[in-house]
Amino acid sequence: MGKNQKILFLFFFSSISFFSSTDLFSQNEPFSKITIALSAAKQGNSTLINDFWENNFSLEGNLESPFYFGEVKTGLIFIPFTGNSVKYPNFKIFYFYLGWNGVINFYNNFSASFGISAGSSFMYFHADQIAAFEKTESELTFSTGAKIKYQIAGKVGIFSKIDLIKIFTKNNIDLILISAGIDFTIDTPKWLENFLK
Amino acid sequence: MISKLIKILLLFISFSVYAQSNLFFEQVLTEKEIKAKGIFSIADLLNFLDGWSYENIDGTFSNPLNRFNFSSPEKIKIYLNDQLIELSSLDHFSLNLLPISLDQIDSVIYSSIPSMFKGEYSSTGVIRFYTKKVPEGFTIRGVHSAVNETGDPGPYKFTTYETDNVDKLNFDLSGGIDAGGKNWYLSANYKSNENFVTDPKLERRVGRLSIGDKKSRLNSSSLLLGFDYKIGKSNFYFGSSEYADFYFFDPYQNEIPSMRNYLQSGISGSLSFSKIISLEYDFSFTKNELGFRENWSYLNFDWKHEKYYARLNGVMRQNLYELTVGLIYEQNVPSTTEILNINHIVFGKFFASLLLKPTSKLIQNFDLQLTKYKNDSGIRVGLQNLYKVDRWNSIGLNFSYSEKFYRELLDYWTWYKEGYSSNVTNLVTQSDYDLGKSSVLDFAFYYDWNFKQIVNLRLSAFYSELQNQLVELESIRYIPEQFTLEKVTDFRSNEFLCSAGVNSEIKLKISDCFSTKVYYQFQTDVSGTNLLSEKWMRLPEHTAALELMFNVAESFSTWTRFKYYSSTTWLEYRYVEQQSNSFYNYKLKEKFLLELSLSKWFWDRKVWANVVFRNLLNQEESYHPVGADLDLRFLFQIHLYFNSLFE
Repeated sequence: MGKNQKILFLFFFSSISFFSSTDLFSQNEPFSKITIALSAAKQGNSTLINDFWENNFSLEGNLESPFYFGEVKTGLIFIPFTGNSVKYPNFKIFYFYLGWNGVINFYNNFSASFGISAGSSFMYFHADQIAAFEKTESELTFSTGAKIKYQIAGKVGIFSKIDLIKIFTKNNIDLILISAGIDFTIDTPKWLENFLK
Repeated sequence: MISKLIKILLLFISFSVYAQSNLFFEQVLTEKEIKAKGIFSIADLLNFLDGWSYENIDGTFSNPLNRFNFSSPEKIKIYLNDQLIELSSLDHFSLNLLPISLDQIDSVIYSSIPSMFKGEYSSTGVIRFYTKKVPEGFTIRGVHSAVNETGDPGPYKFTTYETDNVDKLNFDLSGGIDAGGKNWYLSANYKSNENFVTDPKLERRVGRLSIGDKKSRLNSSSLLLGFDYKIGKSNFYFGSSEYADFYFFDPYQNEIPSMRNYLQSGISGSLSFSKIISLEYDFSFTKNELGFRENWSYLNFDWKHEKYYARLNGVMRQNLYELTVGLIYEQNVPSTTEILNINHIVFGKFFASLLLKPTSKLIQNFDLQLTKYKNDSGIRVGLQNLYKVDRWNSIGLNFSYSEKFYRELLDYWTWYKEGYSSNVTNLVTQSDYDLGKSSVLDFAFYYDWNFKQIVNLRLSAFYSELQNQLVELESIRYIPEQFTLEKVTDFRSNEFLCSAGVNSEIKLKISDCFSTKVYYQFQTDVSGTNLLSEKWMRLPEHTAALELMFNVAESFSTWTRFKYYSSTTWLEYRYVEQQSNSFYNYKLKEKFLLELSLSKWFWDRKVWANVVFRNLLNQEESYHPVGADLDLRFLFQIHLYFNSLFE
């Protein structure tokens, strides 16, 4: 079994175990609140992709809401890459995902969460030498990560997290993003809560 | 007086009751299961039916294989609301030509053993689709799905790690309008589908002939109309599909761009003259055409097949028995610019079924069908017994013997024998062949143990004999200069094979929200001629599956399947592997496949969304030596239901 398969096995069985052990996690009324989060990240690893391109920062915006257990989340991560030489055109990745977090609440407004996500990475290449239809690509992407959060005031929190992202191109793109950010929680509008339920 | 006359006439022509002949070995897929499993198209259903394995060349549409059709082009029989649907043209078969969408389906009932249904005997199996009852008022429906295969080059295409682009695999869009009243309904549907040739094997072959983009496009429309009246009901069906395809034509061993047209219209229903006696009917006209699609070699099948079909049977129902007797007339009319030896092929069929319930514990069913072709006839008989030992245990037995005219397959070789030959150039047959008649003997047994709706265990076993089979002796070689394959066909008659196997299935309902199913099948050839024994190796000896279904909430569920197929061998490609430097392999490796489906309803069950991951372990997954190798795939689908809008 290859490395990819092991990761997928872990991904799969961890998700199954999460779904099977609802008592571990805090329970809320599903979709009763929405947490809006913004964060900035730095790549924390060096892999094959970095032989050709560099990433200096990335940005993420996401929404989280209580689910039947844990939280459901959706978000977008923007990851720009700059070529190491003119042969390698700059490109941007927009990773759109849907995911789930298991949340454990500690004392003193601290909480920890760990989650899994899946979605698509849309890639835009800044290259004049290629045809228009070749300037974009999309690929299945999985990610998993852990987050520590501190609730500063009633609705505002700060957090730091680490995400492992795997983009399933023929030669996988494996990224580790280390990030920090701020979030804000609101009550879900009734019409939206009814729609989501 | 008139009704008495009609009753007497009915008794005269029918003498019978309609019996659900195959009630003992049927399996059901409900709408809920179809959704939970993330099935995204009508054709995709085939990947979820136990009892069949598959061959799949284009990576999208599978052809079901089992112990009865592994060496012949015999197709499963398809019914829509009990009306026979004919989707085959020559050897071309795609279930997606059925012009209905998944959102119309209420349930699918299927059987993979020889059985008779509505007077038609099928040794390969039967799939019956039942559409949902149209609610009163006005309903608007819509479905969109897209499948993406992983493995694009991404940014590495600018580097030395450049690979071929894979891109989107499948794109479906459908919409429908339903209207219903107290005694009538109407359901109109349109669906479109695009498939993208992305696999290197297919790209190389398809690219040789096709002009323009490498896409298959399907456009389908259907109209279902039904009336219930005092003494019966009638269902009208109109369906049409146009499929611009790359059809892998087996005798040619290459995809040939073709334009496939399907059109069927018909009426079926029943008339009840009393609580005891009723009359059932099914009349239809079908046109299946394989026409020209632009290609570099101007290859053209130039083939149209029209079928006129009529079934009429009487049914007599009493507490202790049901009797059905009926007649079927089937006329097949070919149309091509080539001169054929015959104008049509006609089959006449007489059938009868008797369902007996002599005690509360025993149900017995007898089937008989006689098929007449010219001056010859073939007989099919079936016997099924169900014995309920007690509240928890039951035993079932199925015996069948069937004779089949090869001509009933209406495949390429049937018409070739009558003078048809497409303008495909390197088609070679080395011998004359006599189409003749073959027979199948099958014996199946099962034991069921049900415990309080919590545990359901089924153990079954089968023994089959294929006799007097006409089988292709294929010799396939690879031509490296053209990257193509070439096949020389010879025929062997009087081939036979005996096979046996066991199945076990355990369903556990652990709680209201968690259930699991374990399935295992072992099948092997016992004895037979060399050629059929070699072909038998196309079927996996072992198949196993573990399914987990978790209904987290009323509106959210997860479904997981781990499936194992043992390796298969396609000996006719044995030289191709070496000749093509292993670009094609005649042995397909064993497969460990993991699938995950997540489903969620929104907006008071008006919107349903589904995310599916197939082949999560990213294994080599192919179902034919020249077929696509499918990687990890990602599927998204969304259904919209706006029911009873102006009730």
